[in-house]
Amino acid sequence: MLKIKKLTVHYGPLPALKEVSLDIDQGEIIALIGPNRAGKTTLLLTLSGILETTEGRIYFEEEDITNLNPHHIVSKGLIHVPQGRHIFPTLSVLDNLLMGAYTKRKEKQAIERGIEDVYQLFPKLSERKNQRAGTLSGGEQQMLAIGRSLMAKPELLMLDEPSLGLAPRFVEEIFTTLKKMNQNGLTLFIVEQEIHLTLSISHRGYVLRNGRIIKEGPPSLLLDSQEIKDLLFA
Amino acid sequence: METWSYIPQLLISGITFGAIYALVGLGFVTIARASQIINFAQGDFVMLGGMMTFFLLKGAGLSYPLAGIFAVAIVILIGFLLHLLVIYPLRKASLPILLMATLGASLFLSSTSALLFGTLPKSLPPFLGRSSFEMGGVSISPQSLFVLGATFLVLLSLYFLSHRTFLGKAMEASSTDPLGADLSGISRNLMIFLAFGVSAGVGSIAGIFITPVFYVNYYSGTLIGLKGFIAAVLGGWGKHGGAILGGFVLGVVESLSVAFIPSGYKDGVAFVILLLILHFRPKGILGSPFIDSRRW
Repeated sequence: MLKIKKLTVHYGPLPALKEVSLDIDQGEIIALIGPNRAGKTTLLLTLSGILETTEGRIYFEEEDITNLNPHHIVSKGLIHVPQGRHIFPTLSVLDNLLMGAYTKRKEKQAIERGIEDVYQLFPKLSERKNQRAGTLSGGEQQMLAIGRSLMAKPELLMLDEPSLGLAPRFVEEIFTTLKKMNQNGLTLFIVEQEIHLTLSISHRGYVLRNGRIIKEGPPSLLLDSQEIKDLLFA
Repeated sequence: METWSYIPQLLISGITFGAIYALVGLGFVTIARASQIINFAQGDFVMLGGMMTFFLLKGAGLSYPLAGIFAVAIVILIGFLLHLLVIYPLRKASLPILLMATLGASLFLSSTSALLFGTLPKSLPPFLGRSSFEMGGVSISPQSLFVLGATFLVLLSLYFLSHRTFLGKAMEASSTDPLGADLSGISRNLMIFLAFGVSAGVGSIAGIFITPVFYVNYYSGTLIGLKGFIAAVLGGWGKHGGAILGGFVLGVVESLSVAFIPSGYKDGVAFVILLLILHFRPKGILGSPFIDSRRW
């Protein structure tokens, strides 16, 4: 579904990613783990068209999407839930969800159904639909960020640290929901520091360090590897 | 005693000018919210609004309302072109370069206006005749009331546009969280394009309002633009409400100053206010989302 071939990205003069190759198949949950500053966020921002590549190609559903505009990439169904949530604080919860459907704004009925689906997944959002999003708690904002991304009808959802700054019960809730979304057919690409929890729901994982993929494989293999142990105790 | 008796009259004219400054300030804020750009060509939208109306009225012989509507439409078009030809090609450039580009555009617009329309000052007749009526010893011109009423309508429709429509919400979204907007598939270039159109429209309306009171000249955009900018900074840079409040405060203070200092210094008052506000409260009266560390 998503194929990354020898991707190199520079932040100014400094290389942030070096020849990263990665594959995601339909229906999978793929974890990307690694220490801070390894280039995980850079990779997601490049995939969604915010950062430009230096070399390498990105294919989404057999189509070359390298360096396309972010809104083109969103309309193809590759959606990114950024780190720090980036919801629109001055807009209401409902309006935030509507903005998620920006690329599909002509399909009124699909939007109504989408909103119902999001409320079903996150009943809290329904209770607060007319509240300004900036007044929500961290966990609710994360739910809103995920809900907003679902409004764009994603084929592949990329999540950057969905657990960051959340209370443990919210983290569990979010991960349970992510698993449910995957069972309903959504492919997920999760970047996380919560290594155990993430690998427990993933089919495969990649380990990124200093801008390179240093390990890949099923969760059991990764958890036993020396690289992960170094990471956990670093 | 003599001085004090002028005050109600000065207050009325201050409020009228305040409404116009508020409109110019709103033009600045609309673009700043969409793109963080300070558009130095904002004053030229105002000048062009007055200039175009003058020529459509006197040259093409259109009726006053029709001339006004066409003038606003032409200036909106110029606003769109300014974005397409100057701002969009520089979308990857840093902010200072964009500011300089708008300054260049401002010089281009005012010089072109001088070449096309001549350098003589032009004035429009008042919308509702020259007669004014007295109220409590103060003479009020229908022009002032019209300007206030129309400004109110413009403010109301601008509010409706930015808070009740899908596109308005998308514009607000892209200004409050650019990354979130990009990742939601909102095209920020389109939002900035629209902001230039709205801003040019609001600016040209201000131009049509001010020309019957003041002369319009090819360089008059600079001063009115700066006043509008000061209004926006005074009220709180980046806030619609701030620009409106700042506009009225500036208009009234400037007008009242005439009672106490020689009227030749009137234009200087705005700049003294700017210096004071930048020194003592840079985020403005209502606070600025761009300067305050806590956004909104």
